[in-house]
Amino acid sequence: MPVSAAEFREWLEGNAVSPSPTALSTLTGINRGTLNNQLRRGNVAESTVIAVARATGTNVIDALSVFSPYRIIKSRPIKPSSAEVLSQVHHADLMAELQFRTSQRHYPREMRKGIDLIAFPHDGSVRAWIDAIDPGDIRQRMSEETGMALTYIATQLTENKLNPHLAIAASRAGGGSYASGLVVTELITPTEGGWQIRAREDELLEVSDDVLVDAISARIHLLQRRVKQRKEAREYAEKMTELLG
Amino acid sequence: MNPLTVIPVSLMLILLGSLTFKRVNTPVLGHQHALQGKASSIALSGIFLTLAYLLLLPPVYMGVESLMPLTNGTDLISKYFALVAVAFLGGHLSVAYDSPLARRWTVGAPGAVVLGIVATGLLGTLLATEAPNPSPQLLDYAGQPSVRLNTWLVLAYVAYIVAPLIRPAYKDSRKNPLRGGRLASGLIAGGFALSLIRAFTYPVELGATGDVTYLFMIVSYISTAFVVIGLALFAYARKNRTPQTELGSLLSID
Repeated sequence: MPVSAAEFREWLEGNAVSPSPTALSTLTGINRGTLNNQLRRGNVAESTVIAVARATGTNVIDALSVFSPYRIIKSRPIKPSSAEVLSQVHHADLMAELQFRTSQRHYPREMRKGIDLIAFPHDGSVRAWIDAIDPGDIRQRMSEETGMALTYIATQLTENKLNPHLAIAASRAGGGSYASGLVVTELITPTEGGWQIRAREDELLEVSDDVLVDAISARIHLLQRRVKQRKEAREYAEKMTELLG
Repeated sequence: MNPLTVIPVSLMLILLGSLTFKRVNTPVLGHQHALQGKASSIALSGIFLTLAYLLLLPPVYMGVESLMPLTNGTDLISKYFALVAVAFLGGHLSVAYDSPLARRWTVGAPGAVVLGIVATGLLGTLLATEAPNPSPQLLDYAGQPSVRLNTWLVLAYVAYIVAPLIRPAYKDSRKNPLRGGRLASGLIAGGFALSLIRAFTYPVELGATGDVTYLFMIVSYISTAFVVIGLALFAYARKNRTPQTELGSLLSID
C-alpha cells in the first residue's frame, strides 16, 4: 500500500526536505534510481517515508499517519496487546519459561541469566501474530479488504512475511494496534511501534500459567506441521538426488 | 574439416566425458552408485553419449571408418549410440520424475517400436545416400533428401522421448525444495524444450545456407549441455549430501 508521490512531496515540503531524488538519497541512503522510479511512478514505498522520518528525527508513526492509507494508524492505541507481545516470543523461550515454573530445583531461572530471548522475527512469528489477534475469520477479512487471494496470504505467512497493506488489514480485523503489524513485519522497530524495551521479557514473566500453556500448545501444533512438511521435503529431495545424482 | 563442427563437438566431448568420468569415479561408492545403483541408467547414458560424440571427432571417425564395411557406417554407429543414450535417459527420468506416461512412451512397447523404426530408418537413409567419402554427421552430403531425413529422424526421436518429460521436469523446477534441485530441473526442462523446438522447426533449417546451418546444430549442443549440467548438479547435491545439510533440523536456529 505505497503512498502517493504528491502527498509525499507535500509532506517533504512541510518538513523542509528537498524532494529531489539526489538529496533524498543522500539523506536516507536509499539508491537514487529507486527513489526516482518511485516518484516517477507516483507510488512511494512506506519504507522510504520511514527512512526520511528516521533521518529527520520525525516520529515514524506521526509520519506515516500523514498519508491516506495510514491515517487510521493513530485511531487506536499504538501499544501492542499482551497476546501480540507474547506471540513474538519464540516457542523455545515459552518452553523454557514453562520449565522454570515447573521446578526451581531442576530448572533454576538463574540458568538463563545473561542470555537474551530469541530475537524476533523468528521462524513462524508473523503467523503467530496473526493467530494471536485472529477473531476467527481474519484471513478471509484480510483477503476481502485487500483483494489479495487467500493462497497469496498463506504463501506470505509461510515465508514469514506480510506486506504493509495486509498487515494493516490484519490489525483492522483483529481489532488491535495498527502499529503492531508494522512491527512484527519489521517495517518499523519495536520502539517506534510503542513497545517497551523489555516488553517480551516482562510479558513472559507475567503471563498466567493457562495462557502460557495454551500458547505453547498452539505453537507446538504449528511446529508439528512444519516439521512434517520439512521431513516430506527432505525425503523428496533425497529421492531426487539419489535417482538423478 | 570445418572448425564450426569440430570445435563444438570437441567442447561437448570434454563436457560429457569429464562429467561422466566424474560421476563414475566419485569417491564414497561413486562407481557402485553410478553403475549399479539407482542412477545407473544416467551413467550408461553418459557413456553412450560420450562415445557418440567421440566417434564424430574427425581423427577417430576416419580410424573407425577404415574398419567399417559400409561408408559412413561410423556416423550410423554414432547415431545409434546417441539413440540408446537418449532412451536410457528418458526411461530413467520418467521414473525419477514419476511420469507413467513418459515411462510408457520411452521404454514401454511404443518406445521400443519407435526406436526400432528410427534405427531402421537411419540405416535405410544411409544406404540411400550417395556418399562415397567419409563425412562425420554426413555434413558433406547435407543437401541430399536422404541425409535430411536421416538428420530429422534423430531429432524426431529425441523430441519423442523428451516431450512427455518437459512438464514433470518443469514442475520439479518449481517444487524441488533444494535451490540447486530447482535449477537442475529447470536446466533439464529447458534443454528438452530446445530439443523439441529444433525438431519442429527443422523445415526452417532446410532453407538455411552456408554457416547458418551450424547455428541450428549448436541449438542441439546447448540443449545437451543444459541437460548434462542439470544432471551434474543433482550428482553434486548427492555427493555433498545437500538435502541433509540444507533441510536438516527445523528446530535449530543456530
